[in-house]
Amino acid sequence: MRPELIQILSAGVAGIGFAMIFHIRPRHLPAAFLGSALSWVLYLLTKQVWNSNAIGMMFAALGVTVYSEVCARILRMPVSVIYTPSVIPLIPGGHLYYCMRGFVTDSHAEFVKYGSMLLEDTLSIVLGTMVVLTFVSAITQKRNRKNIR
Amino acid sequence: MNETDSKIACILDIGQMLLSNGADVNRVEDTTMRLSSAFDFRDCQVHAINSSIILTLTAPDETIITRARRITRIDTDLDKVDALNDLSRKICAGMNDMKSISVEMDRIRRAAPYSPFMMYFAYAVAAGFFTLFFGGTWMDMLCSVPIALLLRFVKVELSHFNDNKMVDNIILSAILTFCALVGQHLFPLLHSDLVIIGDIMLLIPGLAFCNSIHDMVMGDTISGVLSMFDAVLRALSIAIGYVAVWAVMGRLL
Repeated sequence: MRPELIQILSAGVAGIGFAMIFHIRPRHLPAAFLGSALSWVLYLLTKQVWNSNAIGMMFAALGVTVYSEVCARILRMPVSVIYTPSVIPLIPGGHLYYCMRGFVTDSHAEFVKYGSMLLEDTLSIVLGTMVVLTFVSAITQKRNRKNIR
Repeated sequence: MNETDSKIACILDIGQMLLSNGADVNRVEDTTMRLSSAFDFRDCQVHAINSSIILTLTAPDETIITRARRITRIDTDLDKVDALNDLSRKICAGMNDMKSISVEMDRIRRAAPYSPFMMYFAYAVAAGFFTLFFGGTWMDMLCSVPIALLLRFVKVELSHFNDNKMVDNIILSAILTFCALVGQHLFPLLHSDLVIIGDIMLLIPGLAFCNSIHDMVMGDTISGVLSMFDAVLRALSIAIGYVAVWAVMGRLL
């Protein structure tokens, strides 16, 4: 099997594992599988096109946020139930680890390289998510205010 | 307890349960406001942060009431968040009989979609497939699974006498680093790096991070910064555990 395919499938299955750790009930698990596989597909595709890790992360986070907002509205449940397991594959556990390894092995180059990549990944996820959420909150908060008053 | 008091207690119970099971602050404030107007209170002012809720409202008989709740521990249980969301939707749609609400609340409090055995299974699946995801071989995957099971066991045992997530993370990350390094020492074909990464994913505060973004965008900057800092501290405590074990084991092996 191609390594990309293995990554996408294992991201999806790991997403299911995380959804279970977060106590998400069984009938919502397929949404978690799709979400986390989707996030990695988007990352690989956009990274290929723009040839940049940061842009890949940003678009993947953006796509996953749209996916979870749409899913949450269709399935009528809180957004975080879908968003949290779906975004898990993007979370830079690997870079965190290599950064720590650089620290303990006294390898300054490795520490700085992976530390900055860790920061880059995090910022990209935040940016991608914020772009979508700002629009969503602009639309929904206005509507909510009408409903409550 | 009179009618008004029990209604306010019910609103706060729902808010507190939402917060302590990992809902974002924005949702807690929104739900509290909706419930207050569903129970015929006026002028609801609610302020929630990760560790407390303060609620002031005007009762139908014009008395102004303020109540506060403190939240001490946050455990992620998104099923409860989902169920509470459904319940508050029902209340807003007109179900305002206190007896049936409290029956529902009890049911939600007790509900657990997965048995303890299934939780072990979930830890194994998540860690194993993340090892594969980061480029590990099947052998690495097989090695990260028993470590994940051990982590789950230790985590459950720790939760009986320790409420501090940072201490949790330091101990758990020390254990997983120790096991992975010993594993590699016994089976040199293993990639201890990838085993550690796969298992570390279990400790990374993903939910705190996600909620903090959500809170900041929605205008709850205080809660957003609190959760973000919480996430950073927990990531640092993973590093502490790893560095401590590596400093000792790196010399020995």
